[in-house]
Amino acid sequence: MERGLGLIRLLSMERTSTRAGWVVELQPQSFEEFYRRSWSDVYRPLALTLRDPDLACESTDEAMARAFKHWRSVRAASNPTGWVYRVALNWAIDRKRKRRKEILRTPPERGVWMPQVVDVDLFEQLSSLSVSQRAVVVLRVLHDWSEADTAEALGVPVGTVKSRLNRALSALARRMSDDD
Amino acid sequence: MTIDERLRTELQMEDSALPDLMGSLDGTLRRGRRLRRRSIATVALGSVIVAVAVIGIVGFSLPRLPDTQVHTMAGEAPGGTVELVGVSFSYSNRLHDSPEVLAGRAAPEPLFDTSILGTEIPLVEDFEAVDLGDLNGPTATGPMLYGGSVAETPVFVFQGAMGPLEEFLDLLEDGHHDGSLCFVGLEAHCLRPGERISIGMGGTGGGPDGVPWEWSFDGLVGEDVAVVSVIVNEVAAVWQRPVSGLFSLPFAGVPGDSVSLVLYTPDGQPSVGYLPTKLPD
Repeated sequence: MERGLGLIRLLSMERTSTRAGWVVELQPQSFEEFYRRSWSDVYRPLALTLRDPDLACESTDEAMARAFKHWRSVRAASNPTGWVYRVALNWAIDRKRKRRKEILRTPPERGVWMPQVVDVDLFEQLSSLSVSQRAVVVLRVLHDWSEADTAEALGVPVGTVKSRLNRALSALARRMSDDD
Repeated sequence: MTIDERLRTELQMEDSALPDLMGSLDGTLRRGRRLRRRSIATVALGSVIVAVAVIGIVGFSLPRLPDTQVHTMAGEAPGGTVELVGVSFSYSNRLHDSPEVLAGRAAPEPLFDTSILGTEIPLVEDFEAVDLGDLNGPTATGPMLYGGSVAETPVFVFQGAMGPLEEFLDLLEDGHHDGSLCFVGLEAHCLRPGERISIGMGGTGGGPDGVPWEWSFDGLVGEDVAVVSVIVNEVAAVWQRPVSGLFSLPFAGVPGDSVSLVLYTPDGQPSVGYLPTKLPD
């Protein structure tokens, strides 16, 4: 097969595969540029959601590697950062599940992250939320992501984002009123 | 102060207390290249040693092959057959001498109308996609057969110091992916002696903008097979001509989709099928 023919076929594959839905048009942004600009935008909300900065760092890098693998598709997405966040969150949850099994055999080496906070009670209440609820709270309340972006990043409908946030806020309000 | 305001203040404090960790771009690029590789394995007949189609190997460094070398050597070596763990492959030319890298031979030309099979996803001879200097995996113990590249993912088959297919997959998952989902739900099927077909997915969590994840059928089939075709939910989706029986056919799918693989002889007879299966969650 001639080299030129191979190239033509590859380009043809990209174009025709768009119909199949797994490759979309190229966008100009380089992966390196995206990585430098977006790494922290994934790591920080993830660290607060997971309550584990080290795991957040690790999972952000893993998700970035997968973004690199699928870069043609990811860079054409409307919210590549949200895509990376979702992959990182899923990967981290998977790791946490595995780690729980390991903890049954050996004690964990990593301590619980405990930052300086204004309100210890509120920190504990936030920690008591499920990861999915905390993810919505962090993205919507702290980072002001739109409902649509949050829904896309978490892979859930917008209605689910609203209901998770409402339930989380209601639970927090209820617990804090109980404490008062 | 409202609950929202208290929350925001609290989260801002937590955020400011986060350690300023930074990822490694170089490490991410290396990891990403490894993820791009695709693997296929075939079990040795009556043996624990396998021939593996892949991608790359640490400590097994080959120079990138310039096109001129490929074509010059094609004229010098008429091709032949190579035996990998009991499976014979024909090759069209010898691309490199030490270690040997062989170019696979295209499947027989289909003599029927392939337009009914959906989109062709060809294996292309694209050595630009082959980064042999960043390989990570088993060490080849014999010649490497290069099938081609699919979307810049090179597909090789070679004999390596590996265990049986299942063990190899465990190794890949645990050793390279730490239990994550690179090959989640993978199933391996033997259709005829010497043939192996597997199905796997490339990631976790869903694709961007609702685009399904890329799955793939990979495998080795008889060199009499002219076309392999993937059917998704009873609709022909994609097809490919194997190279020396080697194929790697990506397709789009979501969990729950019914997929099957059909192999066609040159005259269009479906020779062997992979029974419909549901893509796992």
